[in-house]
Amino acid sequence: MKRFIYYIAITHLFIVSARAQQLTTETEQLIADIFEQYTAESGDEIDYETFYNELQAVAEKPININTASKEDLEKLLFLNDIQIENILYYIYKFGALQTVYELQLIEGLDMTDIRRILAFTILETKEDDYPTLNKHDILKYGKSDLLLRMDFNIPLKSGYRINDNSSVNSKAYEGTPFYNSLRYKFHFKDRMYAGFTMEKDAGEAFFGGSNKTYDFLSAHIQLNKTGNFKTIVLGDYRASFGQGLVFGSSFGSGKSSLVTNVNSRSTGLKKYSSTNEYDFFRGVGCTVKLKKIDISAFVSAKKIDGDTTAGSIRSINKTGLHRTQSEVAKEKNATQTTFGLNSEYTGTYLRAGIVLAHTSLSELLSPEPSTYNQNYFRGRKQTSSSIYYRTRYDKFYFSGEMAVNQNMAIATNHSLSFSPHSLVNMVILYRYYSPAYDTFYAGSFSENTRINNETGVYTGIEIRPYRKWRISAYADSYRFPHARFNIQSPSWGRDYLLQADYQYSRTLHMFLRGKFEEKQEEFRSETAQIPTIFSNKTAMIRYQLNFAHGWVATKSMIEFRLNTGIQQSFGAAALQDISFAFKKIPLKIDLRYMMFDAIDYENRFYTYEKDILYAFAIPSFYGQGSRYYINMKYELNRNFSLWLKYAQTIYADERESIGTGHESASGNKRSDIRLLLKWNF
Amino acid sequence: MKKIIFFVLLILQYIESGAQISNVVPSSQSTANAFVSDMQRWSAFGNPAALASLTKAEAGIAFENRFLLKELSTKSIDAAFPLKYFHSGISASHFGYAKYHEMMVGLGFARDFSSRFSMGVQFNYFSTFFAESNCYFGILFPQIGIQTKLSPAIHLGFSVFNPFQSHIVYQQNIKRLPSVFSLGSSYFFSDHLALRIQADKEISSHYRFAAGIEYCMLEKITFKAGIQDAGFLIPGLGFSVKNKNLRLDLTTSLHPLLGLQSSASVRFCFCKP
Repeated sequence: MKRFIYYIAITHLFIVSARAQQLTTETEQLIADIFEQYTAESGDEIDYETFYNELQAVAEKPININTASKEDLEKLLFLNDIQIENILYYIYKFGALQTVYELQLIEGLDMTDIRRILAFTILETKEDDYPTLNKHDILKYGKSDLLLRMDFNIPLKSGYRINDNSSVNSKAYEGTPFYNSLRYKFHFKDRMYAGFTMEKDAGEAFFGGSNKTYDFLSAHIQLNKTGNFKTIVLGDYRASFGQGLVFGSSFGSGKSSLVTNVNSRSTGLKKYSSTNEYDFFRGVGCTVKLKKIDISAFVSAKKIDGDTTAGSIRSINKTGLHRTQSEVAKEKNATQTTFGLNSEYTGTYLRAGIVLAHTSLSELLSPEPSTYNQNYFRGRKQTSSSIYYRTRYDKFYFSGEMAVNQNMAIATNHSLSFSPHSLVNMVILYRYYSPAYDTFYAGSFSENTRINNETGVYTGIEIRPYRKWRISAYADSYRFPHARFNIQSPSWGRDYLLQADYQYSRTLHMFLRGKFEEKQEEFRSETAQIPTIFSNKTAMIRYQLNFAHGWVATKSMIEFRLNTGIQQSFGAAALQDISFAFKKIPLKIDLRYMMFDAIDYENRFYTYEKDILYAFAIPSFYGQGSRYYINMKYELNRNFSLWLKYAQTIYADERESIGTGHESASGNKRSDIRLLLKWNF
Repeated sequence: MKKIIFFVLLILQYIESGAQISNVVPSSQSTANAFVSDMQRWSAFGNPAALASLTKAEAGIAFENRFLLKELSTKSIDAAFPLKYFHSGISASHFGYAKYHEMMVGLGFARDFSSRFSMGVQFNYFSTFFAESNCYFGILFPQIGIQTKLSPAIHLGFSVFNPFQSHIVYQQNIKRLPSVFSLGSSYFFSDHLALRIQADKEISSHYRFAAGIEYCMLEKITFKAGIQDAGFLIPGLGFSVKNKNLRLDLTTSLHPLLGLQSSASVRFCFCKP
């Protein structure tokens, strides 16, 4: 009898837990899908953690669409400027939405957009009620998450093996081959956030050696809507304003299959809870709201890693890896102190602001002179400032920013978005970034990783000719007026993307995507004294079919690539995904099998992989081989969740090792194991 | 300066920048120079079939500058008349400077054979002046075009410029005139918004592809945006302002290497506003 009651109790627990977590799983999946589209064909490395946190925070405290401001709707990263304006215009003209079905009447929104909007919004006709911040409410209604993650790779990389050939007879990597992170997050509605992050990368010392505890420690507190303060941040935080030419966001602008999303989504001051060890500020900041003007001020002082020679920094090490003696020697060699100020006016038709940034380094930054880095920043102090705007006239939406640094070098970009017809959205963006404009924190629309030495025009168009169809295309023409890394002369390039999406039903979606890219590169042969400039052309075509019905979802993809650079080469890849979300037990399983045949590195494939929470993998593959993974999420009960991923890549091209240097591992197989435990309370 | 002009002219020979059929042929005022299916605008040395869509006589002048070099400018003038049995147009253009210039005059005829199909032919006389020989050399050649309405929303156009590959022989040298085949389509989302696409092939050069939209944002103002590619991707923007009988067109495009190209035209329609 006791056993019977025990089974009943356990089964009941699972069922309740499964229902409770179903919505969470759907939201996680939705965010992952949006991120996949956001990064599809994008060369930028976008911080998934921050992306996930942004949308997850909105999902937990949904936006009341009837009272939302433009700033609120900009948190929905999958909407473009025109769609946001259309929503605001509809509510302004026809009043509050009475039902979600009214979303179908808003111009420029298709069923995919509406489904996504519904996950992050609510419909209420009254103003949001913001409780006052008091200790009792915070303790009673606040929610906490504690996450423990562990990663491991098999076989062991050479950096972890004792080097018999070396006279020292020691391992290259100081620490163990485990990756480990521990994170705590607390939030009280959207009013208060707090937390800490501790991380140790694989190979880094852990409670010993060069690290007394974890290698990376981070903590943050953020308070919103407290008196006249719109935001107060303490600890680690990020700052982004305008189009990002002075302070850029960690994501938000770049070429992707969301062809009309090119403007940065500046978020002002925000807590930082990611594990990137470079891209954040450490200090204090606040935003004060004075009627229509927001004034933000912040100060930061943090240690940075640098390659120091004779009292000056040759280069800043942004990887955050401290595994070898040389990497440890670069750790925290300099202090970067930053002061930032932003003033922003928000009116009905105009949003405009001015930004000022001043950074000083404790050591002189002096990169080793080379042709490509002649214009890179050198010195101890850097100042930059900008003005930015967003405005509209009729169906035209203008936005842009103009920045100048201490050398009076200019960086500017301006975009025009418009919807000449309810079925057509279009955007044109012009950018000019002077070769001499080089700042620490800029992040905006560009082909280059750095915001300098580039000029170009981007044109994107999205057409919905029929109800279930969406045609997206962009063309980008750009030029680098000065030498850049790996090419010692001015160069140019062009990109095209054309994608046709067909949403057959709620359950079945497919798309065909073609992309062409041409970029000038430099070829250095051993015999020729002068390097040759050639056009590196890559064409790609991908077909993908997504099916989701009830507890099962599948994805099938096939892709071909053709590269005509120095030599012509061809690549192909195909994959099949199956996901099961069990109804009666709180278990979700993702399975993938993939084959790839791309001998040339130029034809490498990037594929999005499902992963454990807060991890997001878009690994690249070249050579011949296959890869499979199993990714599981299991809700132990209401408070505990467990993720486990096992992935293996098997190369069939007779290679004897994978990777290079200390990261190389013998054999033709590589396995990745990831484990995450989440406790929410 | 001469070196710069020589360099630019040399490049132009190869890249067919902006899909100029020839330097002496002015760019049309259609978006992205996708003129071949445009029934609303007739442009000098464009598709002669577009003459058939005229309802009233009109005349215009145009000026085009390439890459902010005054030596690389094209000036043109044209006039068109709807007659009883056919429509006719005359056009003339000039490109270059004192030591080298090109001129072309054309006389075109077109007829609307039904409300759906029109055809036109134009006879052009091209002449060029070389300082070294101190004389002009010229040649006569035709261009032919058709336009058709597949539906009220879809228009097709085709034209061929110099179909017989006529060329000029001077002092044992040959100046080849380009032979260009153009095929394009216009799709009308509404009366206010048209999408135009076009492909051109000069017989011994790159293809040119062009696509753009024309959006009549206000009754008097039309906005144009598009791209074209003939080895380089060239984006372009433009405006048309119409006031009573007068229409002003401004277009610009940005070549990634050579820079800005701009053109302006003024047309007068001889009709009651």
